[in-house]
Amino acid sequence: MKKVKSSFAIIMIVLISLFLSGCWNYRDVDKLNVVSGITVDKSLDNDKYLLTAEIVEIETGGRESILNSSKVQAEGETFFDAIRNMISTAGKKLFFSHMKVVIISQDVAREGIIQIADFITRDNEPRLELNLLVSKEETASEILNYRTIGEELRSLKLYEMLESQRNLSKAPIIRCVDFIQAASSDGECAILPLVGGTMMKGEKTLEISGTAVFKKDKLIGFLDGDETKYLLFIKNMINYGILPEMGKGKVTNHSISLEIFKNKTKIKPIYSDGKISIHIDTKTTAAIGEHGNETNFIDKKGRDELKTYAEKSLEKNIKALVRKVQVEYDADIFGFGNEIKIKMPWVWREISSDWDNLFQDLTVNVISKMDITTSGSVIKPIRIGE
Amino acid sequence: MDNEKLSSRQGLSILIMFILGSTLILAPWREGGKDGWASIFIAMVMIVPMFFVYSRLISIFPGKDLFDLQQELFGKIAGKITTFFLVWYSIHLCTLVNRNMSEFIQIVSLTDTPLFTIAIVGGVFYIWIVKGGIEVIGRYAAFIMPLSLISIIVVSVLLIPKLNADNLRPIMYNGITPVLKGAASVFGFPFAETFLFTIVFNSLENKNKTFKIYLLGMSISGFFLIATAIRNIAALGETVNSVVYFPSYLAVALVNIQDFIDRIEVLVGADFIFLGFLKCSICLYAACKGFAKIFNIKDYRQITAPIGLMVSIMSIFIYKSTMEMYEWASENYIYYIVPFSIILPIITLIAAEIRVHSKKHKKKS
Repeated sequence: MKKVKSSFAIIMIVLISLFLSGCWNYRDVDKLNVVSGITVDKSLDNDKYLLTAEIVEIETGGRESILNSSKVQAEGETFFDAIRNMISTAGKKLFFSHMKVVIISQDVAREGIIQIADFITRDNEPRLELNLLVSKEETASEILNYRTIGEELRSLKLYEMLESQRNLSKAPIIRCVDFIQAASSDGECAILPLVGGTMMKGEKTLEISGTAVFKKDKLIGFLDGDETKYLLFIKNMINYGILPEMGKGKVTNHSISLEIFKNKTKIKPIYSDGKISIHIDTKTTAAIGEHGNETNFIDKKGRDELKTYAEKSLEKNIKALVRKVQVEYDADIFGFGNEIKIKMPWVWREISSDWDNLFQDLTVNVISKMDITTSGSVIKPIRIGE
Repeated sequence: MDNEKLSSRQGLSILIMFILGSTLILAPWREGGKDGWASIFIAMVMIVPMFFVYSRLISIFPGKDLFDLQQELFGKIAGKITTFFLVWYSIHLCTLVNRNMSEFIQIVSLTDTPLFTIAIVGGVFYIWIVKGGIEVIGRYAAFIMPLSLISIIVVSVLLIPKLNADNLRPIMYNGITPVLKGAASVFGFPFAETFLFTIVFNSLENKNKTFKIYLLGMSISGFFLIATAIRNIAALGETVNSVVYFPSYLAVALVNIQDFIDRIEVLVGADFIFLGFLKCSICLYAACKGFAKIFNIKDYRQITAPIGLMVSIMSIFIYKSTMEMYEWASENYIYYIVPFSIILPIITLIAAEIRVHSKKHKKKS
């Protein structure tokens, strides 16, 4: 009996050490190329995909390790083919788990990008939370050559810049999973942030600003940074931001800026006499962030005047944006269709098939409410001597 | 023969882990679309009458389980045939769960590892724990159950900032039919599978509590299923939730708190392996007990190893591909389970009741 037991123990030890000693898929870190971001282009001479991957190179030595960026490029018949073809130049297999951004060129985006979203969902390495971006420039790969401020790795910098957009609200932050959800929804059109370059010190420098407008999974147009701000107002995605133009025009010829602290937007579909219309309510908490004027807008009377002006201005801008999108793109990027579906499913059942046409002539009313709660540390404007 | 005893707490733990088992990760409620949570709720209500049947089967002849009843009521040969049906089902279920777990491990992490390796490693451990007997399984469950429930709660709470309630609305836009379809799926997998506990609960110390344990276990695990269904839809949106094999895993992969707490989806994987492991062990336990009854083997532990190895190997060639596995599980399984989990127990119960009444009658006269 004892012999049986000990032989069983030996068999178990052999089996366990055979099966459990490390993973089958064991991969050393130094045998991997860690990809921080990729750009997707269409090759100019043939119709193939041209992918550029930014690879993190860790330089040890000295006290700190330095992250350097290097690039690998490959062509392929399909997206996945191009990804695998990179091995022939990179030498090692690429590792996508730490990929932060995918930058898509306009050409590719106009043809549809659902296969890229599919790859990100299907493969077990890329993560669904990575950010998709569209390149404003001619090709997407040149983005990775632009100057950055502070960080060497362009992809990580772009990720950082996107996160900081919460304080600026001039570009939407869209994860891959959000894009899929919007692109597959019949009551909403997808949007992606735009990345481009701006001249600074004689060099092109990375800049994120604006929105790419999609219909299904195809790019159809762009919105600039200021329009994007009002788009985010409608989509209730505003966190912080500045409303600068308040000061100019009728009220004064000097500048006043309002800083947005909080915003809540409610979209209400209204159905009457067989016609659907949309009612947008915005409720903003703002502060006077800049005051360059002799007329006092901080006291009771001035505050009310400023408040009314700011509300009117916001309403005007939101309406103008909706009009522009209706006329130029006919793409429901605001998600009005979804709002109708959620709040009035019985109406949506009837109109969903005809939503494209209905959206174009949709009446949209905006009512904005602005609460100006604070004026920083200044009680009244600084008077300039005669 | 065997005097193994399970405390009520251990029984409850086994039941909860068995129901959550592979369900949490395969998400059979997705046929209900956005309203998968409603499907689970309906299935929970639907299963309660069956719990009366199952718990009555345990208490009607004290000390005799479902396999004993077959031979007792239907005679030796017919009883052995029906027992064989039940054994076949337990083996098959064990195979399916083992295959699901292996596929999961292969798809999400070990993409180059052959399925065979993963399946056989699992098999070795089921054999080991079933050889230890139901008491060992009970102790394992009582220890692991709180841990896995806590980890589910933790990952769900961390996911709250990423949830979007709009993904859940409008409720029942496509009418009640898909919801009922989803409810049928959830009824079959996992709730109706609990008929295997007519064998497990035969070892309970306090058999009067059987129905209570059934009800409590179903409510607790049902609550977790509903919470998971709502969480997945709200995090992933309807499209992604319906196109992927393992939505829970992908939903939790979205957790990212200030780039500090992220990539915690491995917890879901660990949960699945802990829970699925128990489900396989229970199926293997039932299969061994049944085999022992058919061939009049004194101790079911003797045949654990051959049956366990058979299960591991069967789980590799039972389907050719992941797609086939998923199609079969989502389309045919609900019909497949009905004769085993509903018809046979009900027939057995009716026969048993007749026997009990006629005995009483005889005694009186």
